[in-house]
Amino acid sequence: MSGKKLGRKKLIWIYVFLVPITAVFIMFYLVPILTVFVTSLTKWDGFNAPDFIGIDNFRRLFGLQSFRISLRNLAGWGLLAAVVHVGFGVLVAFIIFKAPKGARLVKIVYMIPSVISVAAWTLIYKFIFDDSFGIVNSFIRLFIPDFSVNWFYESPYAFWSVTFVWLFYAVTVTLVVLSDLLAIPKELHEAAYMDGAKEWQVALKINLPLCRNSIGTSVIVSVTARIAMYEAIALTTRGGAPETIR
Amino acid sequence: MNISVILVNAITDMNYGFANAAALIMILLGIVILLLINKLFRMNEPVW
Repeated sequence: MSGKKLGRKKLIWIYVFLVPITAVFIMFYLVPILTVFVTSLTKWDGFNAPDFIGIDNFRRLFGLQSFRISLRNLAGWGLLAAVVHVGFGVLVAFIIFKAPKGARLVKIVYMIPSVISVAAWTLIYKFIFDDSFGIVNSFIRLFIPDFSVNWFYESPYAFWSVTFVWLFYAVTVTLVVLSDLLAIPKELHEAAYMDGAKEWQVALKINLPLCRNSIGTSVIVSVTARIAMYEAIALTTRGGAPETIR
Repeated sequence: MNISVILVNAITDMNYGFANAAALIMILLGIVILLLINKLFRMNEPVW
């Protein structure tokens, strides 16, 4: 069999194996995205035929005060996700990587929230920040007896209270970065130590640059998750009225 | 308040055109963020 024929035969099989994933992509991604794009230019109640209205929906959306607040919140949350959330996850990964005493326990305790649903996790925070019986207010009332703040319903506390729900929940970041750290050849560390490098120098000049891709991936995942974040807002602020999350 | 909250509110109001306009903005924002971070972290270049 000639090389050319073998190549063509292989090519056919490549296409055959690509068919299912392409079909799934078209059915579940491409068609919905195109539908979203087309119907965004219509007035559509789901029962009657869509009525073409041009860019009126976008004009209305950009005119909403709640949309402008959403963009501002997204900018703030995006920045916090990229810097604090991912930073915390990376820090924990670096600490666990060094395997200090009790690292295994920390790893287990740190991973526990990942088996709790976001809804349950959010409700825990709702109780923590509750005005009448929450831990936060009860603690503050030890020093200021008349203290009363409805953390999830008052501006500007609502933004920060919702932020606390997810800010230090960086298990995914830690796992992704830790897997990258474990893939670094030991020879690199040994060579650095032989040259007299200190722990922090190895961390900053070898580990951190080599984890660039996993940290970048974590930032993408964390920041885009802020765009789609719904449960944390809906369950704590009952949908986040525009006047509450500012 | 978040864009996804606006989207869900529009869906519960059965205003699917408006909901999809919000969804489209979310998709575009996601793509912009993806490209920006890709460039910022030079993720297309080899690390080694």
